[in-house]
Amino acid sequence: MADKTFLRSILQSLKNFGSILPMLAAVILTMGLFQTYITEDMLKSIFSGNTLGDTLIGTLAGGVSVGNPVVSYILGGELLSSGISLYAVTAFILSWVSIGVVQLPLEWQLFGRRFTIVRNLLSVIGAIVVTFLTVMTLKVFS
Amino acid sequence: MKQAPKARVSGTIFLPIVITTYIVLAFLHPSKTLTALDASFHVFLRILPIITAVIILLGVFNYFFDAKKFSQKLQMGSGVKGWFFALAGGVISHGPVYVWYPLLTDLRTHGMRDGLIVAFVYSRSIKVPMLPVMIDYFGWKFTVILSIYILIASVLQGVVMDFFKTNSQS
Repeated sequence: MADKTFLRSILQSLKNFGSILPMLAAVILTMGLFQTYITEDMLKSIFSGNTLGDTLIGTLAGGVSVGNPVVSYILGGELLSSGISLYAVTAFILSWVSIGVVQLPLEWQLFGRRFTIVRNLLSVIGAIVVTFLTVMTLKVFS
Repeated sequence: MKQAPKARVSGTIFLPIVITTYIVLAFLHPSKTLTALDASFHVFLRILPIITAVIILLGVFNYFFDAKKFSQKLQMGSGVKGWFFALAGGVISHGPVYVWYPLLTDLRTHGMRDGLIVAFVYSRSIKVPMLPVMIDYFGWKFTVILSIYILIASVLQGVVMDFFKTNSQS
């Protein structure tokens, strides 16, 4: 009897997951497109040299990029060695993991419009503020 | 007592749009589109074990825990413990954030407050297994400072989200 209930719990969670499968498939397929069409050279070409502007660009570029966080560290290291500021690179690697434009439709569907908008706005503001605090604190300790 | 909403199939519009995009791109850039498809397949293979783990975790959680009681710990007034659960959960959880959404929506249905969900999601910016790589590229000082600020920002964002939620309800 207990086993049956446990099985039912697993089946219920499978059913819940099944309901988001089409959206999950769409998100994964979009990731493939982003990974292929947004190249390293494209990312390098969008930075201007202005600290605030580059921080904003880094935040946006990280937000629309997808993939393993290690890729963002490697790309960030490359950008840093090619002269892009630490502000821009920090914003880029932070928003890579904290903002997800690709999964927005799924978040919207599951948590609602208000939650999704507020949470993502907070993430964008958070990425910029944390970037400035991190680089400035690092300067103090260096 | 809150009733769990009936599971609605999501992505019924988004998926056909993405498939159509693939078909159009396949005509314009066949090899690039194939690369994109291959990249998607690799993403799927990478997250498959995590999806399986989350499904089992969700099932085990629903079977062994009283979801209502557990989520009471994560409701308004859960204090430091609630924040600790959210931050620790976020830092140790693996894989892409969207595979955790079903578990979070389940907890939310049972009363977990939005601020803690926000803190959980943001604290996932700290990727414990990848910290050595970050240290290698940016140094340990940078990694420690960034991680501390991420944790502080997670709580602050959660507090702001709760503030918005409370104000919209009153």
